Amino acid sequence: MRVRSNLGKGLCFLLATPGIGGVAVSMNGSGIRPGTHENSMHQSRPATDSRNSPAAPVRLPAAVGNWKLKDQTRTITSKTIFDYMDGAGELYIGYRFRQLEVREYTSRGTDDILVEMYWMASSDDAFGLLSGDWGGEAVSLKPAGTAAGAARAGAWPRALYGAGLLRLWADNLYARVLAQSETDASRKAVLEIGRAIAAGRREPPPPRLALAMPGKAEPSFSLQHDRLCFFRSYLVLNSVYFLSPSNILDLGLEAEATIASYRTPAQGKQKSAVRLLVIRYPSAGSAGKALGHFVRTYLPERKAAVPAGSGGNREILKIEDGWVGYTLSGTLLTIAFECPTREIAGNFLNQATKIAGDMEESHE
Amino acid sequence: MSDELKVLTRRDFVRGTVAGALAASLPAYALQPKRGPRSSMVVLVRNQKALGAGNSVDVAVLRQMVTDTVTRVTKASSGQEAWRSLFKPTDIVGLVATPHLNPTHGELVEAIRAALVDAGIPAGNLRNAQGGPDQAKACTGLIALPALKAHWLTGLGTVLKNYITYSGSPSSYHAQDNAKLGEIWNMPHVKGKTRLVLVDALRPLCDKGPQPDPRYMWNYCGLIAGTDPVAVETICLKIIEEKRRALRGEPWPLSPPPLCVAAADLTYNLGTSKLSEIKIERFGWEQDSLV
Repeated sequence: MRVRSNLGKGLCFLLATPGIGGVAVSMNGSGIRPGTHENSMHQSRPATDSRNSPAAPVRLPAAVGNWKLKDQTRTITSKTIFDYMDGAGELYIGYRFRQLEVREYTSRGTDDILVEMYWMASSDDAFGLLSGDWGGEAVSLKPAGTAAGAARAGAWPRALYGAGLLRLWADNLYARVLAQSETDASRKAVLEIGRAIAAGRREPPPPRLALAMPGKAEPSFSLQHDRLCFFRSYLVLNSVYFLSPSNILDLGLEAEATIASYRTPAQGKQKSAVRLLVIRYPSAGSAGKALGHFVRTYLPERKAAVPAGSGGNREILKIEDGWVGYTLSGTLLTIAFECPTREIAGNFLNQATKIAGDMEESHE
Repeated sequence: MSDELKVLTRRDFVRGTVAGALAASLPAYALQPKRGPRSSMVVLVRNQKALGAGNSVDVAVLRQMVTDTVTRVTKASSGQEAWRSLFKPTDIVGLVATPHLNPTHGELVEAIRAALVDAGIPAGNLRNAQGGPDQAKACTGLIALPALKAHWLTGLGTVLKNYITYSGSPSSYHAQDNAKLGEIWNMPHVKGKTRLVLVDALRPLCDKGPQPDPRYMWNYCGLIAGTDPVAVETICLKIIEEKRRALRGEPWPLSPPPLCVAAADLTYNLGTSKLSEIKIERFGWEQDSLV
């Protein structure tokens, strides 16, 4: 059977080398370089980050079902990620990416299982990668007998499985475990690998900005938890809600943002949802400048009234796809898109303004 | 893209003014002659037996699909005649497949290679031409052989994106610059060399590409081909959009929108992106053709 994975030609890989700063260390528990299957588990530890304590190592099993872990570890950095996955690398670079470790499990007669472990600067970044798509079956990677709720972080699952692909968020690690051909055996193996990756890792809450999104807005709008995305890059924003091919909100790695959809019970699927976007910039100055940029490019009818570098504090306008409103409070910029009425846009801004105040207080 | 140029936004799409905004955002090409009416044909050949257990390719079925495709594109009476109408024995023929991340099936590349040899093109004149500009320069004729997939940065990552490495600077065509992908097809070492565009739609990917996500892959078991790259891309886009709508049961537009398709038509003059100007010739399995 032919193997079709993304491990084809043109891949740039480096053997993980102990002792080289900033490069992942892949060693077995006794400090012996991988190369034999004498030990039952292979450890992988990311480069540490100043904002985190040293992360718990990942101990991958040497074998799961009929699959055996290959010895080779490929370590992909931000400099080599485009060699590994072309433009897909922009997704990870769009968060605070540290490095990627790639492992493979092989089995005679069946497709390989690919293990990609993306080490991020923070748990928020790893959550963000999972939040790009909440589709799939929420699965628990806890040992049997653990309460089901432990597999979730508030409203959101920590691991999702679908058609052979497991995606998980475990502290500052985001992982993809992929069996190209799904069978009962491959599903079992993929989940077992996932459990090994998540084992012993901290379980921080979702980003504060995600938790701060209002659950309700008058008159009867509810947050769609499966349509909430945490991000930093305008490219990621565009993959969720296209605004412009240019970075008209001055997003970047120093910013953090959440966009979420809101619907009413009576609203059919064919009608657009309201989108609420909240961005925290590194400073009030950069937030004001970003709003000015947004207003000049997205709402040019307003630009005559708005000097460069300032967007005004609050405004609601009617545009082609409904009412759009924005408000700026300190470092937080909130924008509501596609609101059916001016009043509803105001309701969303009112909610967000309160959240902005709460977050500013706790920040200080 | 600087603020001195028109910045394309979501509002241009809602207003239906993308064409004007594209012209204004790509000023070097804004003075292209006004587009006249066009007409293109795209061939869609499907066979549900092309993929078997574990999505393995039935090579015999695939080879017949290739013959059915190329004879319909060229209106030739046989596969040999069809290939000979596209290439001379003296041509250096570059096969430009997607190398990885949902790659073009190797069986398809081999089927075409075998068919070309059978038609009298010396095996030594055939080359895998995916790569840098020198690959295109070395060829007198090209066959674009991308696999059908959505792409999270460009909306669609199929026909027009297939030549991105021919630019010599692929990163210049990422993100906001993906609208310029069509200009690569007009570069001197590429222009006019593509005799056939043949898309591997055996098992497309309709979201989260180019990284494989089996939740969004399905056995379409098709080949999509023509000589107008924009028309072929437009049909590919339609299939992806319809599959996404079917999966979610609601409109699920590609995000970001594939700006490169309309720009290839309106700005780079490579072919038509209007469905009304494209005639689809279908052959084989019809169920869930999505177009």
